[in-house]
Amino acid sequence: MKDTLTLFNIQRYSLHDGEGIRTVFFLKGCPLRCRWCCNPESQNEFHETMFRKQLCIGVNACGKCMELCKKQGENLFEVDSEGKCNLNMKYRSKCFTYSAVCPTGAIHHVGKDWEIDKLLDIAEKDCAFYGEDGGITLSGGEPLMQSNAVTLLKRAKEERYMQTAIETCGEVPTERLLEAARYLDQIFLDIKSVDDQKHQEYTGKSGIHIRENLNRLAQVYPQEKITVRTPVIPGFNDKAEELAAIENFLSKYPYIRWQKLPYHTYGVGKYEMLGRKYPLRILETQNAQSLKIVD
Amino acid sequence: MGNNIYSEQEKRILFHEKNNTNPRAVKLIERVRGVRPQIDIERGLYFTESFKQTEGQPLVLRWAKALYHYAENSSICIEPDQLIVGRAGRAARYGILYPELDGDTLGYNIAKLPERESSPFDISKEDAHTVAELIESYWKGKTYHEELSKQIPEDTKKLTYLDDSQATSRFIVNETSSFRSSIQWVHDYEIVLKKGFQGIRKELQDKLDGLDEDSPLDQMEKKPFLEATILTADAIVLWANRYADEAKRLATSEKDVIRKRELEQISKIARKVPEYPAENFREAVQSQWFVQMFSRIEQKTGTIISNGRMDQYLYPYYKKDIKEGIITENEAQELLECVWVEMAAFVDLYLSETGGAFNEGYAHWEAVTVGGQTSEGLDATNELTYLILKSKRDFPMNYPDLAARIHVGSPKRYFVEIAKTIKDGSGFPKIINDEEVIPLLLSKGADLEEAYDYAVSGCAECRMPNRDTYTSPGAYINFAAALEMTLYNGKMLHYGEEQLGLETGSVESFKTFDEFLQAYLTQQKNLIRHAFRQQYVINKLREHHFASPLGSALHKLCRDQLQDIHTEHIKGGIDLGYFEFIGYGTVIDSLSAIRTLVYEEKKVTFAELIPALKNNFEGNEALRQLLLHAPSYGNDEDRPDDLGLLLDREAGNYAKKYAKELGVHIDLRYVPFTSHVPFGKVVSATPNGRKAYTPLSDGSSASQGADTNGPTAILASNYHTKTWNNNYRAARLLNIKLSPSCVEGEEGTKKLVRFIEGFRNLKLWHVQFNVINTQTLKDAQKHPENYKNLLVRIAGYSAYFTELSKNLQDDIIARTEQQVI
Repeated sequence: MKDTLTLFNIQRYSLHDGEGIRTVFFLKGCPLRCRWCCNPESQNEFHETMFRKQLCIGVNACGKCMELCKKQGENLFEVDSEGKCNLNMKYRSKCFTYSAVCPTGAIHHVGKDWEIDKLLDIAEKDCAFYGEDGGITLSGGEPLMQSNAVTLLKRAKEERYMQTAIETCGEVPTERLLEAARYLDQIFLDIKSVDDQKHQEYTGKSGIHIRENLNRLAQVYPQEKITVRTPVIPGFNDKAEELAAIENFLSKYPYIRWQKLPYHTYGVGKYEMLGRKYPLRILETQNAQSLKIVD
Repeated sequence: MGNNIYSEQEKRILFHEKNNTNPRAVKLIERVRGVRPQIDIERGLYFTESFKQTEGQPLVLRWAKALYHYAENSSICIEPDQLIVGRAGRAARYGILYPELDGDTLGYNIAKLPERESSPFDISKEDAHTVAELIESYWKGKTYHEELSKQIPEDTKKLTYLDDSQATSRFIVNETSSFRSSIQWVHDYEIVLKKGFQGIRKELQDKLDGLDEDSPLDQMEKKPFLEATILTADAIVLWANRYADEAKRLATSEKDVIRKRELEQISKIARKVPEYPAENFREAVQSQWFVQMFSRIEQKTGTIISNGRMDQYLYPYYKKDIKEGIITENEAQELLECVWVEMAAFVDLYLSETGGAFNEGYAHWEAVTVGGQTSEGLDATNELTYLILKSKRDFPMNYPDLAARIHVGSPKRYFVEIAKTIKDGSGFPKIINDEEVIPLLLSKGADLEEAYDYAVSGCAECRMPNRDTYTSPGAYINFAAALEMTLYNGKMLHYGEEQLGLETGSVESFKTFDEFLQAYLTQQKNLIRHAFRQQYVINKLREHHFASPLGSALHKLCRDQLQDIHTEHIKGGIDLGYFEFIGYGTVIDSLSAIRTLVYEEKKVTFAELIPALKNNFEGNEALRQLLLHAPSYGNDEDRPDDLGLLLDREAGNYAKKYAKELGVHIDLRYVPFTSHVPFGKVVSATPNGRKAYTPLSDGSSASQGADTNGPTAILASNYHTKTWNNNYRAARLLNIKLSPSCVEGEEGTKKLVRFIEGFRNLKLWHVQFNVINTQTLKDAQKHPENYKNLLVRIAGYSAYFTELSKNLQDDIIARTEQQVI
């Protein structure tokens, strides 16, 4: 069998995930469950269904999903007050056949298995735009959850001579991270908090292993190529002393760039589409409007 | 140009104000901005008066006499605060009449102008009366378009015009030669700056003196040509001198000391140029403007006469003045902006509804070209290039159109300044790629030095001012109509039972997709066939209706051959015409949907599809959604780009085989102006899910909202659908929409540069950017199906707007408003 990776999205002409123009592969699966996560569809490593209600044109105009239900003797949908069919989310891993009949894309199958060759071909389509800085970025999810991610990076480097970058949460096997680093030109790694208890509470894991990984990485990999990112989450790490603690931790690595990313609630709608509850209380913040990356 | 792009910019002119470093320009703009244009009848009137007197004489001489009559009698207006003079109208913003084109329908059209939906014009009652009494009455029975509609063979005519007295377009095989008397054009302005009309006149006079008294050809053809060009040189000098007189008169009574001095200087300069060579930057700018404006008076060139390579021919004067301290950078910019305002004041008036629909929103493209390579093949970028780009950023109007030539050796700074200008100034400049244009010009017979020295003209054309000799406007062909004819056996719903296309059989008879495709290609070829017959007539007819003594005096080959530029063939010239593919994305996507859904996946039958199309998908939105989601052009996918390549190759092959019979290069082109809108108005619902009578896809862009893989993919699709080894091709116009956030800040500039470099690497011809505004985002919220491809910056990442929740969309709309202000 050929090497494959499970992706939930590919974005060409991506501008904010590394230098230059990039093709971003969003890999499915993540060891963390950050409460503020804006890509909840990335968390499970398995395929699932999202119901994008705003695209549904209603059962009167369409009803293809209901027809299939009838045919298969199933009862996965309810019709809501707007006449739109509403997927009962407990069936969400059952209904990939339904996404195939939905003409609007409202029933959206999240997850596709790709051969690495095919992904490299897609990345190569934009080589005219990469120049000396653009290239591919692995993102997710946590891209290094899937061991084939390293194979992809190795082959991108050695066979296609591409620039490579990764956006990692850091909660990955150290050996895998270090091996991946051999084929990476840029690494974006999150340090969300240095308060391990809080880290555990808000993400499901303490930050100890992540910081160890950063430390190991910084020993073998040029610091200049590492960017540490901190999403600033109100109520979690936005107090001056909490940020200062992170800064203090990072002072050991004078050449690592540090970016703070502002909190936003843009992923909230996706939880609903997945039939989940947004795990963080929705925070109204003054700076939710200003979304510039603050260095 | 893309639908609404220009009218959006027009709105920006009306409501937005940017910081302008130049207070004079601000004052001048105030007089033009938001002002409804008026028709100035002087040009139409004096031309008519003169033509009445000169019947029977050689056409080129009649034209020169008309120009002289105009120069002698027209009103001379100098705007307060202006440093540059030369106008063809008295109102702040004006359009002029060219009755030789459409004088027979002037009354009819003028009555409708003030109420017209797009680009309305005002005219006083008195003037309207004059037009009807003195102008229209003379031209009835004499205009080009009347004669053309008589000469086009019946079966071609059926596809060209409706059967009415106005010869209204069918929008199937649309001829564009009757709403302009030349295609987009550029003069050799340099010769005027260097020699002055005195020098040009001397050359012509010597030739006149040297004519052979015994030669009937010399006496009957060359002599009137020389007399006409000499008279035209006298006319423009007279006209400029009347400005000198007026400035002097105004100076005498002027109380303000500074203005008085300005007027005196204007008078001095207008006395000198364009008669004599320019000696400094200001004189060069004024001289060029006089020539350009007089050319506008001479004839209606498609999208207005272009400015040529301003950063090249003005540079020696600029460099010298800066070096000698005669002028500062700011003063030079101020002079350029004085010219920009005059360009904005002159509106390209299209009287017919067809012409108006092609150029919505007072659109005109008097392209200024910057950058590129010198005639020696070296990089041409200089300090004036950067000054013009800067002026475009500082100057809050969408005139003039600016075109930046790029090549592999263009400096980084140039790319960065282009990117900055695109970001700051409504998407200007458009970019033209030397890496595509120059090899093509060479393959069509140009010498290296001419090819290196091309100037952008109009929308996306490229001209070699002393080598191009073909001025006939070409056909715009509605290939979405060909598709409809394939579905309905040669008929179109909009035109009822009339058999317009060929009978290729009922759709049910096509057993395989290939049979369907062949039927389409037969319809496609049939329209091209009629376009070429139409062109045959146009090529022969135009020289009997139009002459251009000024344009000819400025063209080396015309001066050598002593022939008017509108002559059907001029020895030594390269004749580059074109025909337009309208509805490219619409056709590809429709064929693709049929291939995939009807023939391969068998999800839809013709028995379902045809009634749904006839009903405009009424009650069948599910089917429409299915069609909309079929593989579509612009996503850099092998399928359906294979279909795109096939359409391009087939159309190009026809041209390759038959254009020679017309003695010209008729090249396949994808440049719709705003015409994909009116062409869409005759095409019913199409199998790509497009609703009836809505706009077709624009240029070589994807169908509205069909390109969901981002802007690099649409460029790649263009790359993969071009028949590279056939040189019977010309421009492909490409519109890219970006949200302001995609190009925000230094990073945004850098990435825009990368994108432009990618465009250059793919050897595509043209690209322009629309940095999207709030209005569009709001529309995207209402009609998400049209905006599937709209990328917006969110927070550290970009996403497709239509995939976001309503709340987030609202949020981004609010944010973008802040960014735009």
